[in-house]
Amino acid sequence: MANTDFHTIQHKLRVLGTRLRLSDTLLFASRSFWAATLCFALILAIGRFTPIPLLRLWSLVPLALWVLVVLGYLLVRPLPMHRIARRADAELNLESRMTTALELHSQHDDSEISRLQQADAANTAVQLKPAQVRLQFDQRTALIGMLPLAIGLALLWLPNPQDAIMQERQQVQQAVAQVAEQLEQLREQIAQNEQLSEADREALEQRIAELQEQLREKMQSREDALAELSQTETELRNQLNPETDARRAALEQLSRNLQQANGQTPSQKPDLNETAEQLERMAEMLENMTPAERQELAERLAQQAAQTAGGDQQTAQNLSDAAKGLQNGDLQQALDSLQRAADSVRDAQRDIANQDAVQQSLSELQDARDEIANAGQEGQQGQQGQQGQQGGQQGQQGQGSGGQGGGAGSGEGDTVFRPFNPSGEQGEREFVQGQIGEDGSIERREGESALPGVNNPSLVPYSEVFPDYAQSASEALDRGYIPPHLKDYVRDYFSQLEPGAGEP
Amino acid sequence: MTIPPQPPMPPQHPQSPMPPQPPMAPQPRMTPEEFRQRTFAIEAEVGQVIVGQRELIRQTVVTLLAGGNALLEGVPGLAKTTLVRTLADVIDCSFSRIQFTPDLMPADIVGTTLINEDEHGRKAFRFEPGPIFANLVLADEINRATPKTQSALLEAMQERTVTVAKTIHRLSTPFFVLATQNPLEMEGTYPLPEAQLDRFLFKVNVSFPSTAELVEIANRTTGNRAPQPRKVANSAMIMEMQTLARTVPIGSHLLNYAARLISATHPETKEAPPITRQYIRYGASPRGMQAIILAGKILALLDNRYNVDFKDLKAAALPALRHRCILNFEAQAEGVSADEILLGILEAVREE
Repeated sequence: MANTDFHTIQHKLRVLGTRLRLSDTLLFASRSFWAATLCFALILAIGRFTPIPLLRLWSLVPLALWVLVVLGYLLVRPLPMHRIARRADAELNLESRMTTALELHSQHDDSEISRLQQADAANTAVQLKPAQVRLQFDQRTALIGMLPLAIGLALLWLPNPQDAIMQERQQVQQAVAQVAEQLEQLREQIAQNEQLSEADREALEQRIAELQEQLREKMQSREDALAELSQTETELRNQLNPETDARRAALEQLSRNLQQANGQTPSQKPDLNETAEQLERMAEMLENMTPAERQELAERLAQQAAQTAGGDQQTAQNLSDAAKGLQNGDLQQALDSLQRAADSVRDAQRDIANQDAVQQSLSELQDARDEIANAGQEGQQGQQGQQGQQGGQQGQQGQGSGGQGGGAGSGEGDTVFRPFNPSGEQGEREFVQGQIGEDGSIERREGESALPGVNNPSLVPYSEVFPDYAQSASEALDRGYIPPHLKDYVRDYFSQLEPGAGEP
Repeated sequence: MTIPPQPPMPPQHPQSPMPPQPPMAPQPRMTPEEFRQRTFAIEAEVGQVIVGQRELIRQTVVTLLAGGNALLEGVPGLAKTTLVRTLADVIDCSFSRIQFTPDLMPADIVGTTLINEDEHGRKAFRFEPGPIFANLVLADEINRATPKTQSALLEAMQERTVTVAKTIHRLSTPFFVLATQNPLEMEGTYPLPEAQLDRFLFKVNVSFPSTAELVEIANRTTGNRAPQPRKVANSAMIMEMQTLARTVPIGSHLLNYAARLISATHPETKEAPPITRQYIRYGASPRGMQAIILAGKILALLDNRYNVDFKDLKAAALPALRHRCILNFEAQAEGVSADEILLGILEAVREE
């Protein structure tokens, strides 16, 4: 075979090979298109029944894979020469000329008829044009593939009910992450709380750390996070002593009485350590007291013991013993009893601090639980609040805090009647211009307006009033004045009363 | 003892996809174009005598050029004898006709040894050749002779030699037997066994002419002018043409296709299509594949090509395989012909 003939055949076959590969790719693409579109539609359909993160991205994966496979089919592994020859012979009706010519060339057959055959094949190859290879396209299968594509596009366009669930989940995850941060802050606060005993501090820190770990592991599920929080909350609630509030109140009252007895102004929030120190100082002063003073002290201590007995039995018993000792002239007994009373007050101080920490943790957990529970439902609540605000404006304009029940919201521009100062602090001194008397003197009346009177017509902007009430409620919640099972109600109530609550 | 020349057979070469040419094979002096022109001339001259029957003429000529023998099956009066006689005239070869009858003996075909007395009175054995010693032999109604006589002819067809009295006599070349058999009147006949049918390269069905052809036959044969065909070839040319035909290249995928085609006629093979399993008892032999390929090469040359194509093999498949496939009882009961089954097989076997 003349090399010229072979090169002519080879060159033409290469050109035809490219065209054949393109034709094959088109055919493959048209026949495999339905699989990609079916997967596309299936993923979108499944995504309407179960929440799938990044659904649209996942739905495009089969189509992207199909494109990659088609491109790979086109570009990778070109057709070998003998296969091109076979295909060209078959598709262009070349009657096996190309295949036979290539085989004769590979066998180095130089017979006359072999030369004639290859020359004939070369002449035929010269006349070949790539366009003669018809591009094959399976139109029917491709059209079948368009059906799931159309369904998929429709599913993509129609609103997906799972989107709301996905959004809610995302918000829950954000809320859980936020709660984890809050718990970390709480743990740091507990770690810095010097009033707590070492054992109590470690126990609390460990429990909060465990809770953080659990939340990190179960960030995906609102239910799991709530369950974990509830379990921890129950454990902390079990650590609460229901008599702590009464004990605190009794000891604080004792402290105030001691301050008053010493000529000091009674403190709203007395420090129990100072109370213990006062008792110790009182014990030290016993020797220098006159019998009358001791008798008077005995009576006061007996009275304090009686008042304290309802909250702190131990301290009351020590005070009572001290009073008896003084009454009986047993100075040593009185001194020892006062010392024990001081120790008892210190112990109570630690217990109360522990209970406060537990209470604070419990309060934080309840807040966290509310945040997680409300995550993703703010839109609905906002709508409800807006409706409530409208109801409140229509039905109870100028009626103060916005009424009860459904009409909870209040606008910031409203003014309300403020019956008392919820903080318990005394009001500022007010001076009222008096009338000039007959003798030319001016009558001046000085008073305090803690209770301004029933008919006081002054109205205060709601936005100024609410923080005082909210602060008072928050302190009450922190101090445990509110029974645990009612705290949620109190929080919800003040949440609804918050200025601007319910506004879009 | 004389040894007949063996036809050049390609040696087996498992590594090569194409059968390489034999190293000492004679190179044909005839060109493919001359081959084609000469063949067309032969067909044209025969066609002057034989009306219509293009396929019959083509397949007979192909059998001649392939160096094979043909079995013609058709009712009497379809110009089978005329065909062979005309062909012999056109290629300028000797012709003899043997009418097979039940009492025909092998010596009547191959010849016999006689005691001959010369002018000096000395007696000696002399071989008297039978009618088989001709280039073209017409074995008319071959199925009417006994198997013993049939065997004598079939041995000559296969070996191209005749053995009489321990002496092997080589037959003249080219040697071409055209046997006929009548599909009707099977009473008292001796159907050829499968092994002997396999010796025929082609089995050609001679169809009844159309009305127009009948009119033309009437015109040619009932007038006072008989067509006189010219001699357009001779025995040497036929031998050259036979040599050239074997040199036509064939691709490995075509050889593979021919092999798969033969395998598909065997019901026990995995390549067998359902129609084979349903109707064929035993499939074609390797001689069938050789027949397809050889005929395919000739058909390729006649199609002005220098290589074999699928269509050549397909065109040769029916006449080459129809007598080599043994049908089962179901096919015979349902009246399914071998051609119908072979067409089904051709459709089932893929070209790839």
